[in-house]
Amino acid sequence: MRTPKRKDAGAPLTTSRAGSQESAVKVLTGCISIVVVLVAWQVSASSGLVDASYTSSPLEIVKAAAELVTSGELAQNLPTTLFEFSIGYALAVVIGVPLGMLMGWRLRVRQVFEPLLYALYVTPSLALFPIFVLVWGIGTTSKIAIVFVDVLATVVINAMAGVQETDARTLRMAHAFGAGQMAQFWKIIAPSAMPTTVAGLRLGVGRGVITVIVAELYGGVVGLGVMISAYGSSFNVPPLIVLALLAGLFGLIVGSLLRRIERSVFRWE
Amino acid sequence: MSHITFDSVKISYKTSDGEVEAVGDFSAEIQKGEFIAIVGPSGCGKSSVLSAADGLLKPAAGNVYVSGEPVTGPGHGRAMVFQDASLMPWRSVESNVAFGLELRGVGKAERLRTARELVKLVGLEGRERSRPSQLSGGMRQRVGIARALAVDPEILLMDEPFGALDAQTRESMGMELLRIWENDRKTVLFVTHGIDEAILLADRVLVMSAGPRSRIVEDITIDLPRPRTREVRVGREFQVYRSRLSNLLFGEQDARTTEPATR
Ligand SMILES: Nc1ncnc2c1ncn2[C@@H]1O[C@H](COP(=O)(O)OP(=O)(O)OP(=O)(O)O)[C@@H](O)[C@H]1O
Ligand SMILES: [Mg+2]
Repeated sequence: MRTPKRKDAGAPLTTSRAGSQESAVKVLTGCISIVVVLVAWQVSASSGLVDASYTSSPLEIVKAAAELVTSGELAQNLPTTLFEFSIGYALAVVIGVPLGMLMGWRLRVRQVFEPLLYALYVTPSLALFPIFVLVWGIGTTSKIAIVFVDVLATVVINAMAGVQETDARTLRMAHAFGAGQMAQFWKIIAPSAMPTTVAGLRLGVGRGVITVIVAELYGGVVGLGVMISAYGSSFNVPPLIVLALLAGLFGLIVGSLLRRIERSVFRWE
Repeated sequence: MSHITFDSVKISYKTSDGEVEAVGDFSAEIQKGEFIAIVGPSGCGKSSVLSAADGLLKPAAGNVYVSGEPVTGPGHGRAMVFQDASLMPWRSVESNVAFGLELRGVGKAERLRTARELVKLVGLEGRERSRPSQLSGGMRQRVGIARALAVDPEILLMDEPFGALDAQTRESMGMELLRIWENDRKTVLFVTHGIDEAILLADRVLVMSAGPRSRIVEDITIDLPRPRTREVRVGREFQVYRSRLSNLLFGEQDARTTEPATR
């Protein structure tokens, strides 16, 4: 399906002063545009230009956020969602990275698992969720399972692609210097597959966060998704927006953490 | 006994339209400490011959012997320098250089010490911690050479190591290689496209015919004094070798010198 691509000798590191200045400018312009939107939103809501019961307003959202925190509602629900996500995600990484690398490295392993994984990758996970609920009930376990399945496919496919993109010339060099199969894997294949693999971990965070919340929307007792579902059915818009922002923020933080790791991969020894 | 013996080596590749016999009959005897250049038209099988000498590919017929023993795979006594350097971009210069020793199980402190010595030898002192991506093409090639020298091979196999460099860098790298080689006179097989480079560096130039089924058409001994300097180029003998080689490679019409006299 994929042909191994040849990679460039090395990606330049963008740690120059010009680079950081550029990113500061980017952040600043981003902030300005956000502020402009918020102000316009607040003005049009309080002047009655738009119906605030649908759109809410920034001030109302801040108020709702404070309420969610002080009432202890968030503290009651957030840990469950985080737990479900973390366990499912961690399991997917622990199993997915070695499995994906093995699949990229060994044709036989790939032949066995590839059809299954692509099937998982393209199946909307929610379609599988009722089955998981049948097996494990509506509680935490079924949500861990669905996060696992969803993240696993992403992680495996990227780890596999990373291995397959290993530069054939570098491998040949290692062989010429007497590297056996194991040494070729640990010293050449694994490190050169790292960037793509970590990119897969980052993509997995996004998918995992979406999946855990959507699964909670489907049913459950506690969790962010359960809250969203409750506020949604009573058309209480401000807390809904708070929760959506929260999920986004979480994805952003974990994602940028992994991006940091991605960059430091190029400084490997 | 000769150091390397190519005994009627035949190399073929399986392609979509059947088997192609790239190298037909390659025979040569190479003595210990000789610097051998291999030249020939593009695609004639120079890299293939080198790969066979390193044990990276198995000849379809014939054999390569090193010190009388048939070559069956990459071995400790040989090290290869690649045209594109083939460095590991995620490793520092010194760690790239130490790679061969690392594979041989040499301890970290010792292999880094050796690596630093060689980094110095190839003129990259101060760049030990740099990444390959921060080096110029010539510097990367030096790293590739240092990595091969680090394992202290008896035989150095070099596949157009300076092919990707500009003419000026190429020449100074060649002179530097000679300086290093003069230290301990390893046996060198040096594949090149450059006629001047071949004459400047080698004791003998093996000229291969165009493929398929290429073979050695001429084995020219370069009888120029050592240690060699750039100045040998302007000498008359150099011009004689040069026109002889261009005749062999490009035909008479391209020969630059008017009088390809024999000595
Ligand atoms: N892996 C391969 N599969 C099929 N054919 C190959 C393979 N490697 C080399 N060949 C063929 O064998 C012949 C010799 O190739 P080789 O790379 O040894 O030539 P070369 O003299 O080194 O060429 P160049 O000067 O361009 O580097 C060529 O015709 C090439 O097409
Ligand atoms: Mg070649």
